[in-house]
Amino acid sequence: MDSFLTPPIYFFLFLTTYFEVFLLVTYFEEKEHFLIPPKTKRMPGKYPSVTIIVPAWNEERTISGTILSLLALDYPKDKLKIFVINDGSTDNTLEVAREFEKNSQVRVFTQKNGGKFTCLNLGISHSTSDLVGCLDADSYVATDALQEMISYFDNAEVMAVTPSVQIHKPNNVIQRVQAAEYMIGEFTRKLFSRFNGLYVTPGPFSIYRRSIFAKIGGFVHGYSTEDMEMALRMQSHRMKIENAHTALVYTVSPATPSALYKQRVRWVSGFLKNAFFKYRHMFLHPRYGNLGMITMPFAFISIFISISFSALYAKNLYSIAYERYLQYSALGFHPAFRWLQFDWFSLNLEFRRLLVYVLLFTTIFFILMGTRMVLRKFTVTRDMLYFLLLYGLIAPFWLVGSLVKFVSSKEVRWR
Amino acid sequence: MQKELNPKKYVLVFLITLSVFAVVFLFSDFLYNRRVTQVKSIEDTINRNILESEIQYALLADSSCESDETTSPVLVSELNNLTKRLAYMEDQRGTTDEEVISLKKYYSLLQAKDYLLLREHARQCGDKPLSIIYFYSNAGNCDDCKKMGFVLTSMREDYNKLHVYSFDYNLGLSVIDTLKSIYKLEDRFPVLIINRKPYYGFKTREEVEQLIPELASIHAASTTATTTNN
Repeated sequence: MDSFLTPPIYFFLFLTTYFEVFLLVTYFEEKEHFLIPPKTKRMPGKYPSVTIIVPAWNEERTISGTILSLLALDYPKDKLKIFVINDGSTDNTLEVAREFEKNSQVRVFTQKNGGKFTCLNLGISHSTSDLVGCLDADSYVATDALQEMISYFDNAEVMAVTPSVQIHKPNNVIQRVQAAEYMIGEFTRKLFSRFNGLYVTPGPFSIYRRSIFAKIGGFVHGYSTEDMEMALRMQSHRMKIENAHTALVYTVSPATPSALYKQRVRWVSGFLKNAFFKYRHMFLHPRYGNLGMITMPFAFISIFISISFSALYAKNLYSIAYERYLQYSALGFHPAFRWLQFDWFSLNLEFRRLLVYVLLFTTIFFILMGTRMVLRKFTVTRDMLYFLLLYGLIAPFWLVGSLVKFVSSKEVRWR
Repeated sequence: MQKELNPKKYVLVFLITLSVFAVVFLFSDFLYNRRVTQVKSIEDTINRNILESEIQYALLADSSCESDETTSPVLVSELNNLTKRLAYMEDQRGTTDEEVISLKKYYSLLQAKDYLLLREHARQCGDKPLSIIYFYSNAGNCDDCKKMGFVLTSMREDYNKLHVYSFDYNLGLSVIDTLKSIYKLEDRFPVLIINRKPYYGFKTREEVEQLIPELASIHAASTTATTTNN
């Protein structure tokens, strides 16, 4: 069985190494863009006007925090509008939002439940600002986030800017795994932006030039991933998307395995459906640059790579656990039995295993770079350990679930 | 910002990836060869010990019974060391790896030679050899073989005069086939030969200790020695 699997495993190892080398080469080419630049204030009058749309469906518990964080943004009040769109909530979301209407920056709209993309389009249709952004009603922005992002729009070619999305107050193991994942995510997102390979403008606080909606249209359902569909549509029109790694946005993450599973199945199956049903023409097409040649093909094949590597990881863990069980059933806790006996000879340094170590080392480098970008320092956290130990065991569940959804083409809901 | 596709970068990344694979492959090959060299060196040491013992027996005959540790044909710890290393290699390279099979065959011959010398020594000195011959099989999933291996390893570590000889039943070595016919072994595993009698199936450590009552005195002696030393 193992020898049957060996050629595809080496092929997957080669592809993964190629992709990671590609990212590392990009990093060393573009190193200066990953630094944390000193803060500079813009001249008064040089601020573009911005509208932030907050779509909300049953978010009574988090929406106050979201609006308060927007009101606390370090940005001229007359240049910033906040549109809260109540998407037919059945709880007190509308009432909570209405309490903020006494603030001249805030406007509240309400509509029948139509999905997140309809809220965004309603907000866009009422906006008159230079820039339009979106902030999910379970996310919070750092006070300098908008300042950090608008400087990228000084480049007339930039049509959208994504922030550094991080996990809001991770409490349990599931959230801590995601916290480390999001930190790696920020490093890779920045790398993708350097070679024009971004294919998502995340719901939490991506900012767009309002003019693009007139050119390419508003948001669509996009298989419940309207942010991904919009980014792919922009890329298909060769519009530039940047990443502002110093603009921190915090989002509430799923705290239970089932909520995480649901969220990730929506994301991954959304990617598969958008990529295959709407933007298949971009795959391996040189016209779409590194996005078409590297990011999209690898994002697709990485699903299968992750499932295979996770299966091998689980198999190894099972073998170790089974051997321990056999040792215990043979000897019990006999004093002669040394659980932690170490002998360098016992280390598996076979070719395939060494390649996995190289990839693991690169992943650790990515996590460290992510922490440096987010926490402003190199540091080792408990979250990283959880990530390295657990991610490979939990990710296959939603990857397989997404493939099943994709093949059976079942729709997945926003929430 | 890298605006357009850069074929040179794709080629460069491909070459770096190939280099990473090449370096990792060469490094892994180097480490493997070092391991093989290490195993061969242990085998050479054991072979030399056996040769020394053979000559010693021939020269001194019965007088060698007077000494104790030095007359042991092979240092048990040396053999244990080799056993462990071969088990690791077998685990990592697989049971069908030719190099591993070749090392195991040589190791089996050394064990057989050591066993013969131990028997000869016991005959000359009127002792009872403290030995266990253990047959296991890698064919199929023999969990009891693995469990038996753990028990015997723990006993090896506790009783430094106990010689455990483990043989892969399906190694295809004539010496092993001869042992099989001498003891009229059936294809059931694991099997232990203690005092020339085969015992089939997994045996706990206590059960094995009961089959070799002499072990109790060794254990008592070593415990007394340790206590006295303290």
